[in-house]
Amino acid sequence: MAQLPHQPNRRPVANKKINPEENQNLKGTLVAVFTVGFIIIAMWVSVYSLFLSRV
Amino acid sequence: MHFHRYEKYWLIFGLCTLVVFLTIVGVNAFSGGHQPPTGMMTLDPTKVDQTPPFDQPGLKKVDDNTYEANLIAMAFGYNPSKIEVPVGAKVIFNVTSKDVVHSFTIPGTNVNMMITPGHVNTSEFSFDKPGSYLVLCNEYCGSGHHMMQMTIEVK
Amino acid sequence: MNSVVKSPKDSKLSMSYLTVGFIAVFIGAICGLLQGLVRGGVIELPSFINYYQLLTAHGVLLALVFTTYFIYGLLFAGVSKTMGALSDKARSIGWIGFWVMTIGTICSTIMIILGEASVLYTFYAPLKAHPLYYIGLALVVVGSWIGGAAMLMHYSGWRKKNSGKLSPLFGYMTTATIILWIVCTIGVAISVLFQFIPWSFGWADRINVLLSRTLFWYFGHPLVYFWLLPAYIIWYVCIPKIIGGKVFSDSLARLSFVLFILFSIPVGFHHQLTESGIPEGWKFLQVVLTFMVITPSLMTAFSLFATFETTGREKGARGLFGWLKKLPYNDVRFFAPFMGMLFFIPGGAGGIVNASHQMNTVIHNTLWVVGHFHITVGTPVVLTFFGVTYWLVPYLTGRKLTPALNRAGMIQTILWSVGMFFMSTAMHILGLFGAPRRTAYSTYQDNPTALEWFHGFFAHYTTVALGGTILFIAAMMMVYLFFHLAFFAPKAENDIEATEFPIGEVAEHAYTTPRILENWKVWIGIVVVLILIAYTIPVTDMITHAPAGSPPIRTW
Ligand code: HEM
Ligand SMILES: [Cu+2]
Ligand SMILES: [Cu+2]
Repeated sequence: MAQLPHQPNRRPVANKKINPEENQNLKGTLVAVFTVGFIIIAMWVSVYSLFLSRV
Repeated sequence: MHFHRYEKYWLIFGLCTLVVFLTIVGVNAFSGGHQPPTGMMTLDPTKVDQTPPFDQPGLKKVDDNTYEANLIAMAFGYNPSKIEVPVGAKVIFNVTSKDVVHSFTIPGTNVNMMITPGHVNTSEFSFDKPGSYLVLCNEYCGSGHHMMQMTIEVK
Repeated sequence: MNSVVKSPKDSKLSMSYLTVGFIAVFIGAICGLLQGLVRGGVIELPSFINYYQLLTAHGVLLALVFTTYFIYGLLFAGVSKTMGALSDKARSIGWIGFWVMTIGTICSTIMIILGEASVLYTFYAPLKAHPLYYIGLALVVVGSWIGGAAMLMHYSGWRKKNSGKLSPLFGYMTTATIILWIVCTIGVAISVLFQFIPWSFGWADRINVLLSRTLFWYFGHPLVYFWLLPAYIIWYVCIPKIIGGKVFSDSLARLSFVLFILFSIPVGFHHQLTESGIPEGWKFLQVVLTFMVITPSLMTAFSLFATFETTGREKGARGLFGWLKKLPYNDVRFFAPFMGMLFFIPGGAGGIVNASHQMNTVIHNTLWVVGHFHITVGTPVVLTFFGVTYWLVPYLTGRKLTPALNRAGMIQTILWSVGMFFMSTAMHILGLFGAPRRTAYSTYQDNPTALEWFHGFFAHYTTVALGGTILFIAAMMMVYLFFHLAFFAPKAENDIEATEFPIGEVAEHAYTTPRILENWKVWIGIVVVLILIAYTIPVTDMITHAPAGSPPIRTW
């Protein structure tokens, strides 16, 4: 099977910042994990209401 | 160790959510009285029939609107296999097992507890709607496990 | 590929573990299909097979045997790949472990087939199986200790040879997994050796039921992390390479594994929440600890999305979600684990529901739970393992994952996902209506409550049967593909054609890893303290205030 080509090493030109990680754009990640968080809350709240309705 | 700024947001959000969940169930359990079933009474599982209150299993009136149901679970049924309670009655179930592990479960309610031999487990329920309630065993107890049931008639 | 030469002798050891694992899938999946069909009222079993006998075989062969064998096959291959070939001594120990486990597995399986052990994989006392069933299970555990010792030896040998260097992430995570496994299996080993075996032989008259259940669940919860951690190893270490990216953060990956060791063990009471004899306060304490073990999974979720996003952006993706389009969905090595990850979102969310103290009464021992573990271990873990199989087996046997085989793998993955979607959704919903787990076909004498479970679409036992049938087809395809990849796929003629064992490199921007993470004495010390806090008082109570024990009983 065709292997994926090796990732060319193209870091941004001369990284002058002290903290290189802040360069990374992780906005999509942030939205994605919060979506997961809301799924967790939604599921928990629905079962908890079921519990309360049966008390 | 370095956390990306967004990872910090996420972990703080996640941990706060968990703390909120724990607080809700904790308050509901410890001050609202909605604990999971946790009977602490014990007895000799081979002498259930001789041990009160299980020497006379069945429904007992405690006061005006409160009843105690002392029931025995065994392969593959409950003793007694049917009880009748008036509408609106609060019933405290005390259940023990004569043999293996069973459960005492009323589908559609929060009454769902493990019945381990040597222990008495306890749960209560107010029957506000009339009808016939199915009780079943949801812990495997042997070849007739799927037949194990009783009914509660609420009239 | 050239940095570490593959050791054919180590490959043979790994392949032996994997082969037993897939034989277990073959038998276990047949049982699963029959269970689904019986519960749906589609078929009736012939009189010589008992539903609970099938269920015992299914649980033992899939949840205990397949997982453990697969994990050992994978981990042996991975430590050999990343830390060099095993020494002859370590490899021999690995083989001894394999044979001890295999003798145990055969022994227990025979007892199940003979109908002498229809006690399910949890073997709750006082149901009494044939002593050989317990002895077989004990041998599986002891064998796994021996095999685990071989991997620990290899790791400590590597560290001696490379003192001062950071161990490879794969080796580190393997070590964490084996440590977790050894610490947790001690509980079940004590119970089997000192409670079940003497009592099943009749040397002891009675058994302390609550203590045996507590020791079982002391083991039973970390057991699920023993399944999950190897899948996480793949997600952290191999997936970045497969998608053409880098490991997001070495130190956070290690930290999450340390947190798993710490918090996955002192939490067994969350399986005993509806049970008598354990005071509410102790139940709640372990519920709190259970919630702590969610943290490393939250970290893992972030790391994975971040790996996907950084890789996608390096490939030129734009916008908030453009990176999602850059993932290699048509590569089964990625697609199968990826589907697994998706299932893990509702799976993990359901786990939080289950652990929520009194809310447990809503779902305890209902079909919801069965739905839950099929979308945690049964899909995220299992699809990851299947995804691994597609490259690990040709890597070990010097063959190629051809485009045709890749396509077959894609179909297999889709079938598994579709089947699991139907089966697990139906199970979750039926469970909320109170349908019991571990129960053969029953309408409870046509009780209206039970007849409800044969109405609607998702709240319907027949949907369970339908999903189970699709799953069964996917399982049979997988077993076939395993043997095909092992024996018939075309040989790789040279290094370029050879299937690779994908090991991700750490991203350049990642920070250095603190050395404390590799100081196992510290972590083992802390976990022992946590275990003592969570268990000493309630367990002492269970022993000193125990009711008269239970004599052995056979009810099947
Ligand atoms: C062919 C695919 C599969 C099908 C059709 C299937 C079907 C089922 C069904 C219908 C049950 C419920 C039985 C009951 O509670 O009465 C069950 C239980 C179970 N399954 Fe599966 N399953 C499959 C694959 C798996 C896999 C891959 C695993 C784990 C690796 C797994 C682990 C379990 C466990 C642990 C139980 C519970 C056993 C017990 O309650 O003692 N299954 N399965
Ligand atoms: Cu039962
Ligand atoms: Cu658990």
